Amino acid sequence: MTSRLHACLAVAGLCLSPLALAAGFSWGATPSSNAPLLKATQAFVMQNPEWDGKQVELKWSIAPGYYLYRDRIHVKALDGGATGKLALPAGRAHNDPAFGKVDVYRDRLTAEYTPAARAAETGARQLEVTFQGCADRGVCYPPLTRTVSLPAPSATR
Amino acid sequence: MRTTLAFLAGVAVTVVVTVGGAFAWHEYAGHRPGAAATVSSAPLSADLRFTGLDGRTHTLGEWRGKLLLINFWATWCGPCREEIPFLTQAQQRYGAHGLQVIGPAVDDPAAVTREKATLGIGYPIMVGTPESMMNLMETLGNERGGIPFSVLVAPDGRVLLRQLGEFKPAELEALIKHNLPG
Repeated sequence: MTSRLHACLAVAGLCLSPLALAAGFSWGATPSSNAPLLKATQAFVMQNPEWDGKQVELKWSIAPGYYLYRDRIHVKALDGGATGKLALPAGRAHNDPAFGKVDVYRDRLTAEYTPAARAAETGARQLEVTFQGCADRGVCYPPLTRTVSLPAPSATR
Repeated sequence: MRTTLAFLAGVAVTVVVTVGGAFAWHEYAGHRPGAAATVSSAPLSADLRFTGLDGRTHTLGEWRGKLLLINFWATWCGPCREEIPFLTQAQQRYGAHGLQVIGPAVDDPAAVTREKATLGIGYPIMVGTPESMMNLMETLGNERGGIPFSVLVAPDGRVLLRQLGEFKPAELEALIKHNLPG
């Protein structure tokens, strides 16, 4: 009798698990098309820059379904230093209903910034990085600005 | 014993997934683009201030008695630009029947001034610093910070709807028709 009850319980338990999972996904853990919108800081995560004394590597992780505009990424030297040169990789073509064909970045981005010679000499190591993007679902975010302090070269390498 | 454990595991999965799902739904419903219909019973403060592109100060109380559609936008926001013709059309069509659209710009006022004519905006534009506009949006219920973001305010000041993302033109028209005063 006990073993028959156990068998019934086992079958019920095994049957309930996938049903529960299905119910959970359809009710609360919303599928991607209906997922909650992220905040800009969650969608576009800028990592700590790497600085080898000559170049700064700027890196972003971009959440799936979100993109950054290539022409809206800017770097400005603070501390009164001259702004150097930002090298951005080629982006992916994106047909924007409002702006036409534009280059965007998805998933991840690594850009290289070379400070102006004078800035390197004077030790100016404060950068202001601005970037802006949108979600595929038709919502855009105001530009985000991050101030980046570059450590001394010996501290990173 | 093993079979009992299997059953209990099934029950545990049911509880965890259901409770987790309910929490996720509660936490995020209303932050989905195109969604959100939080109806507030308390009217918005009539003292809520806006500054027009012409420099004039406006308060929300100025539009009491009208169906007010507050549409946050920016020149750099593609979906916002796409929506502007429908909003302008709505203002033209239903303005005489009590609709007032206003467009607070989460943008540099100089950029707004430059592009206003190109965009053909047919309703008052409000400006401020991007930070002040972000704060205003948060006050009005936009915790995600994305735009376009719209708030439909009843003639008595209650919030009828909050919308993150573009309106579908037919839905917008139906909403307006349904909520016009009188």
